[in-house]
Amino acid sequence: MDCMNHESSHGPDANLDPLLRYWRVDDPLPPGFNRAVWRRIVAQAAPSPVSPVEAVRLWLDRWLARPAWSIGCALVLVSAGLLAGYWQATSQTARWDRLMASRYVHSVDPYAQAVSAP
Amino acid sequence: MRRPLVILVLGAALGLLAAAAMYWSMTAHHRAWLREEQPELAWLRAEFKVAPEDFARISALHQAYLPQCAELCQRIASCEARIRTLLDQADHLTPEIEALLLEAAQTRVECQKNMLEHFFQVSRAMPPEQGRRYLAWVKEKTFRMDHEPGPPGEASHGHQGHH
Repeated sequence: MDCMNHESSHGPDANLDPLLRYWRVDDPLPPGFNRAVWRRIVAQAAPSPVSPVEAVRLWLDRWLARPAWSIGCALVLVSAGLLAGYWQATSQTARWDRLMASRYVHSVDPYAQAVSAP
Repeated sequence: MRRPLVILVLGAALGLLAAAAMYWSMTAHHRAWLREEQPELAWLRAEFKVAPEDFARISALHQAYLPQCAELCQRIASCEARIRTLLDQADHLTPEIEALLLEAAQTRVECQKNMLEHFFQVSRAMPPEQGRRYLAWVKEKTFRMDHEPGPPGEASHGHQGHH
């Protein structure tokens, strides 16, 4: 790697090319060398099992890589909060309105009071 | 990864805060009513858009009407209890039962007259349009032919401050 960096920064060495062309390795390869190399290649290429947590993290990484996405998601969450608060308040005030109307009717209707008297 | 996650968590926190703020602000008036001594009158004021000076008059009418209403309530309950007792023991129509039925009917007429009188007074204290709306609503709620109470959950609030 160092050599490549050196070469790429200074250009190809004119004397090195002929030397490399005549370079021969006479020693035989150790037995099972090819098989061992292929075994290592296969082991590297096989995908390692990913845990669900890791999968979610990777998914989030991909989705939130850009800040625009996360800001968009945050805005959606705030809007959802506003809507939930609005809906909850509307239904609660309607419930209170019905309760108050019923209380008023009971306060002015003796028959309603007599019927609900213990 | 870290910065977008922070933004997301912040968004979720802001969302919760927004929900609470929205709920808090939208229910503020109702919560104020519930803290009042007679929340049903506060509701009436808001529902029929009663001006403060009119509301003072309506409150006075309401306070004056409550003792009459409570007295009638007692008479109705007592009359009905006596009728029930007699009916449990009777196997034919006795003069006592007949007298009590007559008394119950007279009490009913008196009760309806009183109620109507009160409703007309209250409606006159409101702006004309709201007064008409109030009359229509209250008559529909109180002048039932069978005088059946509303749902049990709602009916259980009628006696507060009366007896």
